[in-house]
Amino acid sequence: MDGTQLVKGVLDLAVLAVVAESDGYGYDVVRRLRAAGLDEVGDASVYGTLRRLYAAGALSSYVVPSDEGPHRKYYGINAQGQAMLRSQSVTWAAFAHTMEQLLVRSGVRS
Amino acid sequence: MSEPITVPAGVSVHTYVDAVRAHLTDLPADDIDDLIGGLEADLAERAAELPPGSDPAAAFGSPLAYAAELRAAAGFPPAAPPRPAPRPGMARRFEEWLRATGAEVAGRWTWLADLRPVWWVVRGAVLGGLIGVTVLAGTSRFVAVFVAGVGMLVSFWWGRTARRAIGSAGNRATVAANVVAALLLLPMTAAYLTPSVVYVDTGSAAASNPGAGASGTWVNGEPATNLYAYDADGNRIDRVRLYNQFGQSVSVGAEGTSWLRDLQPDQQPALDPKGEWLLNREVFPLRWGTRTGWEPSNGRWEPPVKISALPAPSASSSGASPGASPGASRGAPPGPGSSASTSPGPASSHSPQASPAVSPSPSP
Repeated sequence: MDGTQLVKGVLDLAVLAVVAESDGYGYDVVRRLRAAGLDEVGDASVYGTLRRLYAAGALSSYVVPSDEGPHRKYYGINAQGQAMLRSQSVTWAAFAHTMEQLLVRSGVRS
Repeated sequence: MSEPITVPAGVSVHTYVDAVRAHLTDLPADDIDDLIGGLEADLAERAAELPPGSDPAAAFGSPLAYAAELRAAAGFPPAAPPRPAPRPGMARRFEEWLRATGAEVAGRWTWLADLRPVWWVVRGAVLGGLIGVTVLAGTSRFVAVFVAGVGMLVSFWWGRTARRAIGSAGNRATVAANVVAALLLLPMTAAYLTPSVVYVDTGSAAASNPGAGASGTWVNGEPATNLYAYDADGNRIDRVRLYNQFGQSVSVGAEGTSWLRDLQPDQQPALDPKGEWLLNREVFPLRWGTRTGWEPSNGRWEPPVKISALPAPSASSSGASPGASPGASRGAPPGPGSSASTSPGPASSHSPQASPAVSPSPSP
């Protein structure tokens, strides 16, 4: 199974979780996701997700001028984002638990 | 693909971001800014981690794919289909066919390339000639030929420099010019060979005139040698200058002055060094020396001091009087002055009291 497809389904949750740790700009978030082990994550997917979460009101955004080169756009989580993160993590936990049960019952996992 | 190492990464990233932006232009400007804002900084940082000299497009994927991923993740619809696959228009397909055919022909007969400068000159002659014939028609043949000559020079210069770094717009203009010149090659050649077809003398209403093509003034097929003006009340008008619908002044031409040679030498106007009569041929009646101008010309008609007044305009508006207008008087019953024109027919020769166009009576 292609990991990229799996990541896509949980990208919102993953990005929310990373930004909840601390504010970050696009590539910073990408790097932290990869450091966490989500190697398949694509840059553009993360940028798009950040923008969509921002448009949905889950993230706030601010620009930090840079001495050398273009501005950086930072994203931070807000209350609505926190609520979304909690609700999605519950959904994820339930889903992961269900999948685990399924695999254990079929004998592939113990 | 060898990206020069000296190019700073930022420059390439900037171009890359611009390319990505080009695939988002169907979105609202605010959304594009949301998507693209900060992207350059992020990509520049990523590019800095690449081995020096790497091409960002190779590392990030094609701008199109990148934009598609951005859109999908951001929840925007995919780019509208017409953008990636625009239906090629007729002109576009023709251009492509032309280029492909041209490349094929040039590959088969390589010596054709040596004839390029010849074509440049021919192209300039055709296009320059076209301008000369259409835009400047009627000025003079010299001007038209001059324009064609300029066209040759410009076309040759264009051909020599077109090879170097002309944008696609210039390239396309060249193709268009070539096509037009090729299509017009035969017609223009014919035009050059038969100048009368090209250089129409637009010199006036002469076209509908028996004296077509000649300068001067013609009345009823005869060259006018003089004009005697009267107003509607029948009074002489002296020193008249007349203009036609093109703003060209009415004058007597060569035919109109040839009769002067038949006059007694002491009656003739003086001659200038070139042998031309010293005579203002645009002010009527013509006069010179001690003449008042109201003497008879070679037509021998003596212009009366006063002719009958025309009827009031209301009479003519009734339509009952064909003699009410000078033009209609030609159809009037034969009278002493059967023609209001300046070259009266023989019938009017000896009618000092001639009253052209005076008879307000309806024709029988």
